[in-house]
Amino acid sequence: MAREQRNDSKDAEFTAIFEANLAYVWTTLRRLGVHERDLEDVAHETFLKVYAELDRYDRARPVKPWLFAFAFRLASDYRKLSRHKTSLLGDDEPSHGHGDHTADAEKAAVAREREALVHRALESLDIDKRAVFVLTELDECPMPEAVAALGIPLNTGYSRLRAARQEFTQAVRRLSAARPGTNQGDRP
Amino acid sequence: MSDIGTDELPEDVAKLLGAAKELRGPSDAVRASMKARLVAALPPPGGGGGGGGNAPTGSAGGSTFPRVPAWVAAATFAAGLAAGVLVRPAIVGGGGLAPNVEVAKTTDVAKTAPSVATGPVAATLVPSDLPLVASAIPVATPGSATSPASATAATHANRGSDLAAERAVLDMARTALNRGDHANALAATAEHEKKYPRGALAEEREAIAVRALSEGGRKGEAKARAERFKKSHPESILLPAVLAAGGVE
Repeated sequence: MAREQRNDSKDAEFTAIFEANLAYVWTTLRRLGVHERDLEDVAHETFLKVYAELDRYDRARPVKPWLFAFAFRLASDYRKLSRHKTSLLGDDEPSHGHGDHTADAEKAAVAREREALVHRALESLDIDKRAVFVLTELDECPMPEAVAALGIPLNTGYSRLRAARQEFTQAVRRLSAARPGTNQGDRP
Repeated sequence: MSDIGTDELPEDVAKLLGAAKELRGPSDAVRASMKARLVAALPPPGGGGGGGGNAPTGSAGGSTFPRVPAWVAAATFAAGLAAGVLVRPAIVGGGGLAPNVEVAKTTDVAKTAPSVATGPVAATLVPSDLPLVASAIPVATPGSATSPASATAATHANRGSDLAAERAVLDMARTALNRGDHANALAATAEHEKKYPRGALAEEREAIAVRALSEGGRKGEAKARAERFKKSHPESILLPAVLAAGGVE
C-alpha cells in the first residue's frame, strides 16, 4: 500500500515535471544539436530516463539543470551516430509561415532567422563547450549549478565557457558574413 | 550571464542570444502523442514491463496520467521491455545509446521510405524500434512455448507476434512522419489498416494517420478522420492527440 502510494506520488511528480518542462527539454535538445525530425524520439527517451532516475533527484536543487544533464547525455549519444554528424542544420530550419507576408509573419520570420543563426553558430562548438555555453548563456544558469549538473570541475566550466564564447562569436561573424541578409541584432 | 571574469560576449552577439532564449516546445498534437507514448512505456500497474529502467514497479493507479486502455496494456509489455533493454545500460553505465544504435542500425527504415531526400535517415531511437525488440521477446516468438499443453501460451505467442508485426508497420509510419515524409507515413498506415483492420494498434494507426494528413496539408481529411476516430474510440487515450492533430474543437 505504502509502495503504491509512493508510486502514485512519483507518477504525479513525473507528470508535473513533464508538463512544465517539455518545452525546455525540447528546446535544449534542439540547442544541443538534435535534428528537428528526431526531437520527439529523443525527448521521449529523455523523459523515460528522467522517470527512471526520479527517485534520486535532489528536490533541493533546481529541476532545469538536472533535466539538462539528461538532455546532454542523450544529445551526446545522438551526435555520436555518424549519420547525424553530416547534419549542419541547413536543412533543418523551421518552415512555418512561408508565403505569409503580414507584419507579424515577417517579425516571426526574422526571429526564426536569428534563432537559426544561433543554432548554426552553436553547431561550431563541440558538445562539451556547447553544453556549458547553452546552460549558462541561454538558460542563465549560475556556473556552480551548471558544473554540478554536468559533473565537471568549476575551473573546467569556466575555461569551457571562455572558449565557447570566443568560438561562438567567431562563428556568428563568419555566418553573418556568408549570409549578408542575416539580421544579427543591432550590429551595423 | 556575467558571473565570471572571462571574456564577455560582444554586445551584438549577446543581443542575438537574447533573442534566441525563448523556449519552443512541440505542437499540442505532438505533446499529447508523447504523453501517450510515455504512458505506454512506463511501468504498468503491477509491474512486469520494466520500462522505467531502474524505477520501482508498482501500481500506476491514481496516476495523473490517464488510465491505460487494453491495447496500451498490451503494447506496454513490448514497450516496457524495449525501454528497459535500451534505457538501463545508458543510465547505469552512463554508456549512452550504444545498444539503441545497434538496434536502430538493423531496422531497415530506408527500404520503406527510399524517396526521402532531406538528409540522413531519421534516427529511429527507441522505443519506436519496437519491431526488432518485440520480436526478441520470448513470448512474441511463435513456438517458443515449452509446455506441450500450453495452448494459452501459444495463443499469447501468436498475439505477441502479431503485435510485433503490427508495431513494425507502425514504426515505419512514425519514422516517416517524424521525417516529414507524410506520403510514406500514410502508405504505412494504409498497409496496417489493410493487414490489421481491427489490430491491437488500430488506435495508434489512426493517430499517426491523422497527424500525417494534417501535417501534410490535407486538413479537411485530417479533421474528418479525427471525427470518425472520436465516434469510434470515445474513450481512447489518444483522443486528445487525434483531435488536436485533426483540428477538431
